Amino acid sequence: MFGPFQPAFKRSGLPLRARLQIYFLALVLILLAILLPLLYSLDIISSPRAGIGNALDTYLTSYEKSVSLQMGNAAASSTQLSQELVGIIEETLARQHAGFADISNNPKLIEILEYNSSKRLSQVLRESRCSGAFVIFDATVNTELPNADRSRCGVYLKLADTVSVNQVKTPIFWLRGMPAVADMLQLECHNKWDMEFDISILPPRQALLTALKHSLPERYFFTEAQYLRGTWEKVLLVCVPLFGRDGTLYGLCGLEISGLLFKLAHAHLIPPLSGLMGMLALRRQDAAGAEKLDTGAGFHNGPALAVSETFSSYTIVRGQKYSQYDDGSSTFAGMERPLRISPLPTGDRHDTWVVAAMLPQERVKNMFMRHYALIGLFIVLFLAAALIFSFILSKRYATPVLHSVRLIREGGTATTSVQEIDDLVAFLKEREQEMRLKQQEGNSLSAGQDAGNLQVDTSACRQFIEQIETLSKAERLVFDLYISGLNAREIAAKLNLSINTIRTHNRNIYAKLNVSSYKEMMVYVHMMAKNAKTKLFH
Amino acid sequence: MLNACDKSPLDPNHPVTLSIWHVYGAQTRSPMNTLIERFNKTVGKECGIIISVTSVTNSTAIHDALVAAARNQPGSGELPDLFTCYPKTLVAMGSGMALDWGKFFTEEDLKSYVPQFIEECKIDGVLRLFPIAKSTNALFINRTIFDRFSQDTGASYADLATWEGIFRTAARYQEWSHGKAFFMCDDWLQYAMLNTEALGEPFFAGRAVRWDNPALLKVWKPLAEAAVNGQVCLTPGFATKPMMMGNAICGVESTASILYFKDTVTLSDNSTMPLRLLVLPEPRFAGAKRLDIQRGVGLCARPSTPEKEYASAVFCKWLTEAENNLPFVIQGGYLPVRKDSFEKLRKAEDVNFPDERYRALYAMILKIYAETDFFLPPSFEEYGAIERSFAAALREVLSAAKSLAPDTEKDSDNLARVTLARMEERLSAVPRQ
Repeated sequence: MFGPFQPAFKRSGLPLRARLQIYFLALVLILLAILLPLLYSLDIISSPRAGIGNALDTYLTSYEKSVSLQMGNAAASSTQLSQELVGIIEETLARQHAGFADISNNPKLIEILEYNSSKRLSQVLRESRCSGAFVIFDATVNTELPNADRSRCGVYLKLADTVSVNQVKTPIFWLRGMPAVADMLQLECHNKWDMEFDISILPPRQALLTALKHSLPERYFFTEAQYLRGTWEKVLLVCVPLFGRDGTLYGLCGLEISGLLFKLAHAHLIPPLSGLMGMLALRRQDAAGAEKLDTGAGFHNGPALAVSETFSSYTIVRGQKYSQYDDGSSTFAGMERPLRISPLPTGDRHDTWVVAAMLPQERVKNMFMRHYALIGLFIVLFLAAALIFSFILSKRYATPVLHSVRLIREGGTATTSVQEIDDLVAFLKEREQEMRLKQQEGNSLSAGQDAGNLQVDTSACRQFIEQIETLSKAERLVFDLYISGLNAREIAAKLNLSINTIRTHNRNIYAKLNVSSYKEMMVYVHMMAKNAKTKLFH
Repeated sequence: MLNACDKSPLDPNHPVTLSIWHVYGAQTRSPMNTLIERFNKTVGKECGIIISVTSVTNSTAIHDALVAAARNQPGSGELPDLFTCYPKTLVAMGSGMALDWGKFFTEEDLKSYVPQFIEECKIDGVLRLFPIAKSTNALFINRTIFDRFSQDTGASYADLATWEGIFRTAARYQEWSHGKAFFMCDDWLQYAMLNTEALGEPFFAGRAVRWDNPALLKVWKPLAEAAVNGQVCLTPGFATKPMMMGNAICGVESTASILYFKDTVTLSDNSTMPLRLLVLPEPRFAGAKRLDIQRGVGLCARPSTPEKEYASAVFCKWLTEAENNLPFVIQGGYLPVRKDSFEKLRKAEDVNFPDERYRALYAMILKIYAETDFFLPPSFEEYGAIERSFAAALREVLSAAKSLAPDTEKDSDNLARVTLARMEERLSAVPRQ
């Protein structure tokens, strides 16, 4: 496992402390290599990808509910309005003894129809949380005009202000319709007033009729959001067709949701990540199945200028946790979900209204960078702590060993606190003494002279002899066996004790006889034997 | 202090968002929204400020919305961080609702601005509003119709220099057009107040209208007579609209109305005709001194956190700098508020007028500003209520008086006295808040 290090150990003969430090660090790295994947797999450290995916999903869930509620309410109110308006149209025509085909080129009849419809429109507008209400009749006041084919009469009422929660008092402006009717109703004309609707923003009549044939009883559709001509305001119309009892298409009615109203209606949903946006958009699918998200067709909530208010078409690349959206100039991470209400498709049948949560790629990158920086910091701190720890531990461990080595080098006799080292030192001394004794026995005379040459104080020798009495029975037995010429291993074997027990006895014997080594002890023993002849001790 | 973002308390990575309600370009392409978009993309991005427009409306609607929000009335929205309003609105809200801009603009800074604009924005000596654009009134004329009328009848634009001439022309126009109204005023209180003051008489005594004022009677009499004869358009709202429907061909309006005029007039059969526009100074009665109203809301910021207050001041300063302010005010038919911008406009340096209408308008405005004395509307608390009630009462009283259409001078005097008495009666019954 530490192959690369082994030659270095052999070659350089690393000091004990360095070797210990490396072992400690190796252990820490192994722990780290196990710990990090474990923390990830147990989700104790979560990947930013998963975090982003969760945040998108959480926000999208509440955002979709909120948007569906708003658009659903508008669709329901529009559907109810359509039923009432059909009744108003048919009743008005009956009173005027006219058919629907008589409306075009008949300003008086149009005024009456508009007046009668306006009251109900105004009421719906005040009751619903919408920014405008309209009815478009499939007729025009002047069929002779060049643009008569796309000009249709009707009424478009618009709230002056969407910021106010109190719609009961908010003034209503007359955006489309006969001005005489506005005067009758005491309504002020909008600055961009026109007498009639330009229906070119609506789906073609034939396409609409085809879509309606295949639809459920709930027949409504959304126009793509567009700027009201000549204004800063972007609006989306929730439209419901007006079918007479005989199946004649009288026109359309519905409610307007402005971009500002949409933004205010969902502003209470606080995104879990800064920079996260919610949007209502149209998901388009081409014949090859490639998907694009048209955010210009709807509205968005979130930071100003993050996405274009006018038109943006993002290609979608699906991912595991979230998708990538790219329009060539900016990229987002996000996910989308179809609206739970199902407006009729008015363009391509594969188009779907969706709500999406999107996070700018720059923000995603920042989150990843931050995550990696944190992990890196954690590893650096962990390694730094391990380094300090290994330094302290190796020092504590190696110091007594090194101390002993120094003592031995200096010829000192003090014991260390490490039993094994003391034993090793004792063992080495014994070996040395044994070798010496063998040499002395070979040269008894010269050895006697050598022993005699030791300048030992006779009083010390006397004290040595006196201290022999302080030895315990076991220590005395060992001492006597040393005198008889056995070494430590032979004594252990003879007394059937372990070598460690004999070493323990040795330490005690040395301490009591006030000697530091076997060698010194045997010097006194020889002196004792020699002096016995001169009756020094008698 | 506000020149750079480097010493600011703002963090571009965590921008502060300031909501704003304003009045520039409601129901049309808003030049303020365009400017805000530019701010957000540039200085805002650099400094960490996002301005979020949450309402664009007119000065009347914003007055109601702000006062309601300040008083926490049921259904009112939450006050935005920034808003534009007249001094009267702030007085009605409580002047403490707006930050003292003096915290961020030194006396030296303020010397760069037109002094009377700064003065108008002070409430009790404190700069609570900040001038960002100013306007005055002008007479807008539909030249397409007037030229035809002039050819047939000999009426001239010179006739439109005085109110006496306007009323005479209105009578001739009614006859020529088979009963159509000739003109309308955006603000009928301003008609009465300004012309009375121009004749040398104060309109208010304290906080009450001087109904017995002879100058008021003088300006009221021809108006009442023209109104009951159907020569004046008495519909609610701005004069732009009857002019764009062909229901009137002259309107006394704010110079900012130019933003709202379309290029065409829509007639009753839904056909259209081109609208060529002429702008003249607002007429005065013969013998009256030249006096013009100074209009234009100011920018207020709500007292808030140091970051938001600082961000508001950065935006305010940026908004009034010549390179940002000039394109904005020109698009809206306003005057700039700094002396250097004013000078550029006067010399036509770095100025791009959208079309000839605007060029003619600014020639007229600069002439007025060079020659006239400006009149500041009062800003006492009840003024807003009087202003609104006055127009509604005038429409009601003069519409109801059509049966009193005079045949003789005596009848005219009687009509004026009776209708003025009804006005007094109506206004005294109106709650002041």
